[in-house]
Amino acid sequence: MLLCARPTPPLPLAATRHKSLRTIAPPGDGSSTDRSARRSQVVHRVGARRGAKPEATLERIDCRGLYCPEPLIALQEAVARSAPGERVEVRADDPGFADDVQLWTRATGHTLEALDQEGGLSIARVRVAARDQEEP
Amino acid sequence: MSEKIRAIGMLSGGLDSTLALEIMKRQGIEVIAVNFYTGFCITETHRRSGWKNKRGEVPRNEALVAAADVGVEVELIDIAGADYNRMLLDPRYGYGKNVNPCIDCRIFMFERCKALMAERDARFVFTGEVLGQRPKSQRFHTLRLIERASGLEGLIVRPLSARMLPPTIPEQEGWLDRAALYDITGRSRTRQMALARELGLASWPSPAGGCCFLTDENYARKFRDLVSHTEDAASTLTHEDFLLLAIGRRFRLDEQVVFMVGRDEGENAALQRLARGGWLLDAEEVPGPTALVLGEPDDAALERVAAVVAGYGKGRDQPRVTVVAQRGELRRSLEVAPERGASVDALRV
Repeated sequence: MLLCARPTPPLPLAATRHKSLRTIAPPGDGSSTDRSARRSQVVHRVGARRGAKPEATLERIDCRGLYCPEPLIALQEAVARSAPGERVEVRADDPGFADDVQLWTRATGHTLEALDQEGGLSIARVRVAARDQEEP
Repeated sequence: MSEKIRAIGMLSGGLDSTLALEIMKRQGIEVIAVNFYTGFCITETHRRSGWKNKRGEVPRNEALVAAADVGVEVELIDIAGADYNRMLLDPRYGYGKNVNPCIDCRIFMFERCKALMAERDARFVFTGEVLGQRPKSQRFHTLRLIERASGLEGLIVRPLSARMLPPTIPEQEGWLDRAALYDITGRSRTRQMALARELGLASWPSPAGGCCFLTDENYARKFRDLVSHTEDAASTLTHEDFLLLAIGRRFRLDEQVVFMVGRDEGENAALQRLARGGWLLDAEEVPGPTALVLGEPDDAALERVAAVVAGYGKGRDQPRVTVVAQRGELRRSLEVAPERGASVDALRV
């Protein structure tokens, strides 16, 4: 109704040695429908080519502006569409995300490879565990 | 070895649902815990406003804590959105004391669980519900009604009260040992706490009661105001509109202009974050709150908001205060006399 787009600055690209890099649409208008669409957007997917090792593939998702638990839901969705060994990197500015991602990886058995906090931004890198594993 | 039976566990992160997880795990069930996000969780709102508990910590997501502690897979499911809003605005089974459509909400969640059962090859659903614990949704007949309406008759297990309820299909089929389930009823938590100690749960959150904004009287008043001033509310109101009801003091200037004034830094930040094209106002030279205006205020309306913002700031005793109003690239400087007292109270929603 009365809510319009919040201007979001473009995401600075981290230095990467991967050659294949695809950029998809920026964050949208924040409506309920848009939240779901935005969460499912791959911001950057690098290294995803035939024959590449899973660990070479990294999906980056930008969850700045989304409130917890939505960044975690976005991570969950990204992990579901990734293969074991692939990695997902999430950028989120909700203050609860850093805590949530540690608990979530502990519960689900995925590996939290890195969790960096820069100012109000948390950057988590998760390696996807094998499917159908026993309970963690 | 026979294949493990898989079940979906509804997990709020409170003591009862955590106990239910542990009980099912001990019965050899492969558990997938699900936690539903509706957008009305008080704890999440506190977290996003930077609110801290008595120990100075940001509250944790208790569902994640419980899943990590018990050691079960957890899935967060976002049910906030148009379908949920339609249910919320016109609940078939009505509201509780405030705007809490508990029965319809439970049915909504169980329907999602049913879909997930098929998707994940699970055989049944379980919850931490305790017979007689909640006045609306946990009475015997209501539990049965919810089962029937969600298409899960005989497939919802309540491990804490199971022996006070008719045997479910999982018990009849021998997937669960009914004798090892419990017969807890009522509002007291004494038995649950004893059971938690017996099962070795290290810690548990304080009682959950009132964890949903829809059960809150103040929230309900603002909710009703918003709905009554919105044409075709079911299709036009968004998740963010409902989030904003929980942030700051809320005022209504006329039929279409409302504004919120932050009560602390966290709320000021949350209003800025949710501004999405509305006017944001701050006093220029003195500390004070941020206000967000929704609607299309004319000059007089914007000046009135500026006066209220000034009245809540440190410059409230000054004759004139400069308040800056910004909307995207637009910026206006308004010099106003701070407004306080009864005339401001009269605008409160």
